[in-house]
Amino acid sequence: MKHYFLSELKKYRHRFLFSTLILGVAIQLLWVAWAMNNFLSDHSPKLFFGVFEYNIATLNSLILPVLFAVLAGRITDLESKENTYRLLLIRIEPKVLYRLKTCTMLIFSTLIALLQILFISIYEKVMNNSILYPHWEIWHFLNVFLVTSALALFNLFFCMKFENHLLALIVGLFFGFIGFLSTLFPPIVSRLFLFTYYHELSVVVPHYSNKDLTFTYRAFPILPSIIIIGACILFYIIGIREFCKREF
Amino acid sequence: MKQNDYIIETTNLTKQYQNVNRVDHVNLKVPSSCIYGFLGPNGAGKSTTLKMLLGLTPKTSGTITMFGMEWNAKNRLSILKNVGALIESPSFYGHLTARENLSILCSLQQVKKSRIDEVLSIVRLRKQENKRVSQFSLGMKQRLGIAMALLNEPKLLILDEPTNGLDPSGITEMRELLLSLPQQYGMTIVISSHLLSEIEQTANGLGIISNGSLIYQDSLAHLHEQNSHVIAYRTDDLEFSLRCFENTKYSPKILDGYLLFSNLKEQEIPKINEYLHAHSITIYRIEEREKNLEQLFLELTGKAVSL
Repeated sequence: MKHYFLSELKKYRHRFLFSTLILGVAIQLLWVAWAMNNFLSDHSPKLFFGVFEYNIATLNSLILPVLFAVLAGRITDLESKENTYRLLLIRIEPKVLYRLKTCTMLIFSTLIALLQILFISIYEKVMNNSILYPHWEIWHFLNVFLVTSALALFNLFFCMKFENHLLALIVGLFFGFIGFLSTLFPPIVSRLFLFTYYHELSVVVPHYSNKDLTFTYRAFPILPSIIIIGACILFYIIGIREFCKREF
Repeated sequence: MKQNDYIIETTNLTKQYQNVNRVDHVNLKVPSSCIYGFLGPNGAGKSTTLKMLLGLTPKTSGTITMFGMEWNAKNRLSILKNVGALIESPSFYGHLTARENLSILCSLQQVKKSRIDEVLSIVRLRKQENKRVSQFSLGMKQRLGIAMALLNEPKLLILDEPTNGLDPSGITEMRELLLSLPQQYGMTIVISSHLLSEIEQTANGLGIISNGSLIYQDSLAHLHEQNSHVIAYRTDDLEFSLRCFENTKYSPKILDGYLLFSNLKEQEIPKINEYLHAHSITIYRIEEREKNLEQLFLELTGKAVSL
């Protein structure tokens, strides 16, 4: 399996995949930092972690659907463009190739979660604020990793199924728009969309009371995380079955 | 040919699409260490058959035996370790150099890196090894495809239209390369091509497929022996000569100012002469001609009229 993965990584040379990912996350986090600066100048620094989590979750819903549509499109496009499936599939089983692509997408999900945690930690040190929520890194990582993985696996299945990646990008943009507005929908509607689970899995819950904003902290939500894990498994199974049925 | 001398053997290999057999009970028998030409008109089922041999397209029914082993989902990859292939058009990563493309396959097939230099030398791409493949000409891409197929030192090479896009000197080089492989490496080659003249110069075994069915399979020499005799008559009235044979067992045709009779036995020639003479037809010239592969192919596939 190691040599398969090495061959997969070699394909990504000169494709700027990691640069695209870092750029996307950087835009998101700088946007959050700018919003935080504006917010904290008028509000108590005790709100720091709650606001940060909430803003990151909102921007995850906006930016990550588009980013993952782009990334999934790029890693599948390099095979479909010159039909390298014909070259690869006489050397490797179709399910192994699909698993390699899945691993790549999960690596992207992990990187995003880690980059966000790193950013929050650095920002906390710079702003001299302490995050009062214990083990916040683990809950933030689980939140971002699980939901982003579900998004990644959905996009991978979509891009492997439909070779026109403009379609994936349009779907990503549409879902990103829906994601940005998701907190305005009633919970029964918003829970139908994957990317709204960035808020569902968040350990912070905002409360507004007479123009005062406070946050309460809760334990990591189990039911939404089971739903997301189920979505990941479902998209993976559907994706691999569809791919293995194809003729090349 | 002995049964255990076949490197590929299929039994009633069939591929059905929407209730139509695109490949219809094909019984391929490719002998070892031969260059097997696999010919057929467009849409005959050549590429589909080759894809089934490689597992790129699942078969509807029938069996495939390669290297004496029955082909199935479990042993597919272990059989294909000894196979190199180039199907329809070369596949590559355009954003990578030739060397980088080959390096990916080296990792995948666990082949030693030094083999990259060897195959690049064989196909004469050493000077362009660090150029991005997207900047290659069609002929260079074709040669890179061959290099990729040769990387794992296969015992069987399956090539679908390997001379596509090559100029005449490239075609000659390709022919010399393909002729040398069975001799130097004991390789068996299956080539599908439309360039009948190239197959005639390269192949020693032949399979002709038409409308999904294998209509001829044997050596090229045998095909020539069976079908080579064409007697051409030049007469004073070709149309009348043709009409005279309407209700006879002979079915000549007019081509390029001659009345052509195929597969005539020697004893029949004087009978034809007498018959024409009896109808007051003056014979100016009688010639014996050998059909080339193109003519034999067109006759077998029934495409002569449509062309």
